[in-house]
Amino acid sequence: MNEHEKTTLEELLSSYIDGELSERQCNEVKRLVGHSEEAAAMLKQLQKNKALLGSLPRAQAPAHLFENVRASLERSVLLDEYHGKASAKAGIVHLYTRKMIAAAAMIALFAALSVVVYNIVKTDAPPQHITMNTNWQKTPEKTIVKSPITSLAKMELQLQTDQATAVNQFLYRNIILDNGLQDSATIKNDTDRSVYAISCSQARAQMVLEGLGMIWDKFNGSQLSMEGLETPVVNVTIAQAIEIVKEPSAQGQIKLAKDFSAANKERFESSGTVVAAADGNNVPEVAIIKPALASGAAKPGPNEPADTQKISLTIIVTGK
Amino acid sequence: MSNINIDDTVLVERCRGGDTEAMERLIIKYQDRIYNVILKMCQNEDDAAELTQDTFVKVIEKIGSFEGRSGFYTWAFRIAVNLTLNFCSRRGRLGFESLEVDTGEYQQARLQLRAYLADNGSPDPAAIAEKKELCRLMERALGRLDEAQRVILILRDVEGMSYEQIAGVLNTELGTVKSRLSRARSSLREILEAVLS
Repeated sequence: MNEHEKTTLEELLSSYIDGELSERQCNEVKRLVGHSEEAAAMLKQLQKNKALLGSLPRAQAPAHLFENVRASLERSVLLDEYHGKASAKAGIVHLYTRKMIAAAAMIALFAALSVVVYNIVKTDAPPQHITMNTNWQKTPEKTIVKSPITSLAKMELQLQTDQATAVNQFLYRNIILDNGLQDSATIKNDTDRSVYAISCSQARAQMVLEGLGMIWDKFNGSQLSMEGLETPVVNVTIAQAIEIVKEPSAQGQIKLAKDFSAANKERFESSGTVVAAADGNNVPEVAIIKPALASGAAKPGPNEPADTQKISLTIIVTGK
Repeated sequence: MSNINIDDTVLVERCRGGDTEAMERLIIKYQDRIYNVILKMCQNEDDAAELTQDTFVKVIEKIGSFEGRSGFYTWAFRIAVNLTLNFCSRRGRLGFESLEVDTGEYQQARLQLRAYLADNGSPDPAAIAEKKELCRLMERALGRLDEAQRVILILRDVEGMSYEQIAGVLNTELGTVKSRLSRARSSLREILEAVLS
């Protein structure tokens, strides 16, 4: 019997002792065993070995196996829960960290915006009645001092014109509106005269007058009255009016107005003619300040600091 | 525990619902058979106890994925065999005591084996079980087989599984079971012949 035949026989006998062969195969095995002592011996040993294996004592599982299994399962569940809680805790920490970062970013943004807003508000609308000395940035609490409002003389500029409509339109559009005086000016229009009562700073008053200078040739008569001035300045020129406005004190304004009044009277008497309101050159001692509105250089910007000195300027335009 | 013969399918369903009593019933029902197979394979009681416990833990953990394409019995044994084979491969060659130990026990075992094989009568399992030296010799001879042959021989001749069940446990073909079983028996026969020679 060669190796292949032996292997085939073993496989056949193995299946035979397990009862896995068909009836025909079983008969073949029986015939083979009956004719071969070697096959018979092999079959007998296989059966003996199988029986011996099947007769080996069966071991009993250790006691409390179920309890051990249950304990192991509970440990596993607890570990899972622990890992779940640990990951949840990590998630909470992560979430809080993100919230804190977001809150810090919001605070920083709010602070930056506050600084920006403060800078805008501080430069746009400083307290009008509060002045600060040059060292206010170093010690603001000690250097911020209130200064009393020092009113200047009340002025009334009467102008006569034959083009009242055009002049009034120019006054309103190009002087009142352009200088942002619509809130501080009271305008009253009658049939033959218009009254513009303006309360503003010296600088603004100067700009108003400079604006008037642009149409000064439209006026054929002018007179400047002032509170405290006995004799009005007849035939006042625009240059004289500006010089008076620029005076830093009411006393100075009145004194200058008196001088101009006397000078104009003297010239009227010597020449026998009325000085044209537009002829600013007839007052040699006062240079005409040309209005700078065309270039815009003299126009006050929105951030121009307010003047502490208020002036009350009333412009009365008469004529048709 | 009043109805211990309750069907496996019902117990499995109850286990899936978290019924610990059903789990206990399943474990009690199969613990000895699984432990016995594992012990015959790894031949160490402590390892067998631990592997049996691991088997049932895994059975309970995975019972939700048990699809029922095979019987619960086959599925549980597949888990046990895989765990044990993995354990054996990690441990290396199974704890095997050499058969060529010249001791009184070994000589007694040889004599018992010779007498057993020479006896033409039908083998009596009870009588064989009393011959502890012979049984010990047979277990040690099993230990000399490689894992693939050992497990198939244990499943068939110790556990008494059918070829189909063995194929299900080992996830292999029926023909493979037949040929592998034949080779395992041939190897065991050669080992025992070497003992007697």
